[in-house]
Amino acid sequence: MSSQQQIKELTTPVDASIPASSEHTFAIRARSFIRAWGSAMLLAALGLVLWEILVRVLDVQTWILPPVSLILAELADKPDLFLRHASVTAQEILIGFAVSMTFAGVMATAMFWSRLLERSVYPFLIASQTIPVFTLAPMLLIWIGTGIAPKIVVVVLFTFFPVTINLMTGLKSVDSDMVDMFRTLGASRWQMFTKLYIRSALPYLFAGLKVAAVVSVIGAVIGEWVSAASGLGWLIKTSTPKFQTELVFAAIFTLSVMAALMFIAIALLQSRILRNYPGSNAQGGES
Amino acid sequence: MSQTSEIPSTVHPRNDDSFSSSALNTDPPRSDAGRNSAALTRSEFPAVSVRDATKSFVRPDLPPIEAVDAVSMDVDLGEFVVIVGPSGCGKSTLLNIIAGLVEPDTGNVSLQGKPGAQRIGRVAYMHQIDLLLPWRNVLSNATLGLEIAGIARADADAKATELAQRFGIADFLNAYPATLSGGMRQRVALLRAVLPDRDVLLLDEPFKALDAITRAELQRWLSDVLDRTTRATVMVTHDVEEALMLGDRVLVMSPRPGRIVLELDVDLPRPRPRDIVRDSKFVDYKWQLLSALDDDLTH
Repeated sequence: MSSQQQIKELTTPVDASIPASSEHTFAIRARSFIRAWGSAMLLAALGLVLWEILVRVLDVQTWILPPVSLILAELADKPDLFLRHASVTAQEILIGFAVSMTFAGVMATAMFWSRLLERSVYPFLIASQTIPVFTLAPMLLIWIGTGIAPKIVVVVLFTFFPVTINLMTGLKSVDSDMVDMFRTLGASRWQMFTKLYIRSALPYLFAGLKVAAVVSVIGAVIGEWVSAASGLGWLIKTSTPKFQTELVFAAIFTLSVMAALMFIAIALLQSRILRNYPGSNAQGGES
Repeated sequence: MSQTSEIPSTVHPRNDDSFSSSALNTDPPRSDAGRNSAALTRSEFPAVSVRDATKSFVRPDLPPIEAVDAVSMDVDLGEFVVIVGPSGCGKSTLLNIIAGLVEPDTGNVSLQGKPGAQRIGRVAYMHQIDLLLPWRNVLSNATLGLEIAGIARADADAKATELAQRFGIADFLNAYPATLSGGMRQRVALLRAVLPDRDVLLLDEPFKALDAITRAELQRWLSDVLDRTTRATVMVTHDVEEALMLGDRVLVMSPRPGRIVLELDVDLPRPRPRDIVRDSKFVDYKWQLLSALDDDLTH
């Protein structure tokens, strides 16, 4: 009776103000950002300064290797030009990336449900990576024309692999004790897939997305190299024979920044979505 | 034609109501018809009945491991049975068989007199490690079983929140597993196991991973929590004192192949305080269990 009473008294709504996870203030974030990236940024700055000094001291011709200041001046001088071409390339990258993610999601899901499909398709996924995409790109021109489509295809060819393989690895690496636990709770295979497998695979998926983000830029440039009328790859290709070296370097710099931004965006998304995962090893237990 | 008419008598539907109620739940979400039929069968049949279960595991290039050999046991509703045995004696295999994770090579398991062909998902099971999902907070970890059973989120949350008081984890419902101590995580794991109101609860060395102090605390806590229920509980441990602190009946299992070599009714009052270990009856029981375990080791 008294225990019943006690339960009644204690059964109050859960206090939502209980701090669930530690609060990250801006200062803490800034400090951890500097700790994580500070040394790399310092090294980059050092390298650029050294570049500038060496080019000037050794009196290197600007069409062979322009000094950093000239490249930056080029960027500052023609922001419209770079922005226009960057937006074309970015479009190819983002659409290709989305197609790759969709493809990876469908493939990995299908292979999860069908061992037969996995056994028959997996070798071809690996084999697809032995194709030198650069030689395939001119064929794409013949097959699907000169529009944005062949560029997207090249981006997809570069990016689907890391995403698909990582997602599949993630789906396979689920702890078997967890699976047993779900089974004893009466979970259907679909419930296990949505509530356990996908969640467990997320750290792997993000690892694949990070790799894909970086190589997607290469894919877009190769696509533009073969046939294009715009885009940063096209800009590089057409400026090199004209010895507009500072323009080439400025375009490469823009591409690097785009790849870095993609990477950072995915990393931020990852740290947000996976903030409660203790590392990639997602198990409890004391050991 | 005659074949098709036979199938329904042997296949048992997954969500048979007779396995879903217990005294913890005064307001079951399922229909009353199932409850009544369960009440009728309850007195006649044990909640769990294992008959001559044998299980061996085949290994490539090695002789098969005989994990469990012709084990029979019954557990009634409201009873707490503890299985004690040395490490690797097949205790966990026996629990896996009862849970339906593993089918025995020979023998069978029935739940309340009905063949337990599809018993997986009807027997609550708490593993050695907590197996909490790190991406879910305590509340949604605890309600996982209810969510899987298709119970509305609000109802599940309300039920879990109420029981969390008794389990001593009410202040942590929004916390994530990574921030909890091992003892707290085990409490959450037990809450998750008991919330779906199964008649049978299996505990596989639930305190193994904990330090001695937390362990003693959780043993007391467990008997407090579970004494108020009328489910059938089967716990596995290698700790003789833990068995006597908690069990109504203790079964001693031999080393591989696991057989039941001693069955001991524990006639000690409840609740059992910590100093019951000095009680002469307790000491006597303990000696009986230890010598049964020793006998097996020397033979």
